[in-house]
Amino acid sequence: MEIYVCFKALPDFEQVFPDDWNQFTLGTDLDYAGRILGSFDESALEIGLRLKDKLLFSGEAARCTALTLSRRLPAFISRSLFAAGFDEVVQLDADVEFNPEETARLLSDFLKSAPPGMVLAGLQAGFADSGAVPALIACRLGLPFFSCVESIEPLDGMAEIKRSVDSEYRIVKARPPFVAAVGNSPVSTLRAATLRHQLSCGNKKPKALPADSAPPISALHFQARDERRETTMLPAESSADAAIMILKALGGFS
Amino acid sequence: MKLALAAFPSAHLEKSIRRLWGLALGLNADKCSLWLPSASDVGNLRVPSGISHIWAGPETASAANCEAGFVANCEAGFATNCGGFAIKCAIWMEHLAKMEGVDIVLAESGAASSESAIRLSYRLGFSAVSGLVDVSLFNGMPCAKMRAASSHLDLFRPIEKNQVLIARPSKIYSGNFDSFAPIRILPMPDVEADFIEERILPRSKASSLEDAQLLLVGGRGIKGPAAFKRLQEIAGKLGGAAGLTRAAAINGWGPMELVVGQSGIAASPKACVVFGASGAAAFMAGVEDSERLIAVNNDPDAPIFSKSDYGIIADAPSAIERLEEILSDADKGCG
Repeated sequence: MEIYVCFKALPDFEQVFPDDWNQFTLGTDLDYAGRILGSFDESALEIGLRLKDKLLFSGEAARCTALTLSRRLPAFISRSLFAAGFDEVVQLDADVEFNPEETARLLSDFLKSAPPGMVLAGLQAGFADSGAVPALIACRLGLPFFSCVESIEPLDGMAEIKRSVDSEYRIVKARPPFVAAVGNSPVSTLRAATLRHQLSCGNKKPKALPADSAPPISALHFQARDERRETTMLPAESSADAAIMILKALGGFS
Repeated sequence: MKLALAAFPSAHLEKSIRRLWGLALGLNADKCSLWLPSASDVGNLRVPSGISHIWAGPETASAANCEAGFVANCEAGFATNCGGFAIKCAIWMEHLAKMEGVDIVLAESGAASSESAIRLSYRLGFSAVSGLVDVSLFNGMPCAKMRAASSHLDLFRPIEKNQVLIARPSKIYSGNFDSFAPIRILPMPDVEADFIEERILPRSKASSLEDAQLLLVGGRGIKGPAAFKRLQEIAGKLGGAAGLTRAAAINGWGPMELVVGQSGIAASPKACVVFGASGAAAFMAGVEDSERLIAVNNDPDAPIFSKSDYGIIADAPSAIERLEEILSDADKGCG
């Protein structure tokens, strides 16, 4: 089983200088803020590795590939993916933001050549958090699509997919290949690699492939959000004071 | 410009239509139809007078005001959210879009509706513009306003023909709905399920957070699951609901489905108290529409204070414990 997990290393938005938000354009360089994995992508990556582990344990062949569309993949992230257990990291060399159709086109063009057993992705990733890319990949590949996935278990050549949809869990039995978008999963962090694994994959490098992307969508405008409110600080000398102040601030609710 | 509103609710149909209509007003459409692939019992549905007609799935075949000549081949036993639901809806909407020459489809976001809308955009060759929270004029042009960069930015994209807009508006149109629009029925296509079987189990009602008038949220500063349990009890006593930040949920202090923020629930309660959260933009996206926002944090420099109406510098778990005691005493009649 070939498992592909799509991910993106994003700027750590909390580390960006406020001035850079005020004058943000598509060309603004935020690399100084460092790059991190998006929370849903991180869940998808770990779920992919757990699937691989379980398939291998049951005697089935399994390979896990991490796939990203980005010119900016920090070495520490690709190293940690190899060390965690990914067999390959593929980097499609293009930066596409705010254009889910183009992102899906480039990723699915690669996946078509790779025939996957499963394609996992975070429900939302990237700057715009459009949430459209995984479903568009499924459309382009003509595969079934499952969103809001919490976990996936292998099951006799099939998969049991747990989805959390509104006020229900939907436990779906499906036959691969399919595309799954991982949402708020209890599997929330990528495993920590052992030192031995980190050392053993020290020389592995992502496979960089050229990607011919369309020009960015023009006429996008950005505005820094100002969430400030006029704040009244309420004095509290003790936790009892704090509790009383909360009730006062709540007014009619208490 | 021809606009179609696509609403997929099971329970809050009018609310969904109000959300969409509030946005539709900003688009100045020449003609606007309403598509209800999964709604049942729409016979007495009142809509704004700007809606020219309603297209509905076969469940509404008995609706009293069905337009003559528009009911055919109703499929028996159709169940919402059954196998291939999103694909069925996408094909159903594609048929309507082509038949009516629709330029823009405005759909409400949701697990099934978003997938249907994205699939529709692919089938029509339209652009999927998702996460739209409002329609704003930018340089005199109607633009889809969306959150970007974990809610640090507002992104404006011009609204043009050949787009499927997928909206998660926080505002609800409050004007009168006093018209009945003619209802036309289009049967659902027969599409095979894309899975072998499906079981449905109930889970915590995260939706209660979205509708709560009072929301209490615990962050990592509540320091453990005991404080979150207390928050839930306090919320119960005050008639509200309790959620938690993603960081607190990752620590296992409460279930993931109660996560508030960009990666979880976006609520718009009348009042929200946030305990022990610093105020990262991705979290604030879930509470910023609160009418009154109260922050409790032991760090006087926590960014959340500048984003709140009231700030209280205090240790969050202790304040929660005392709050529970005060409310218990009040229950016993000695508070």
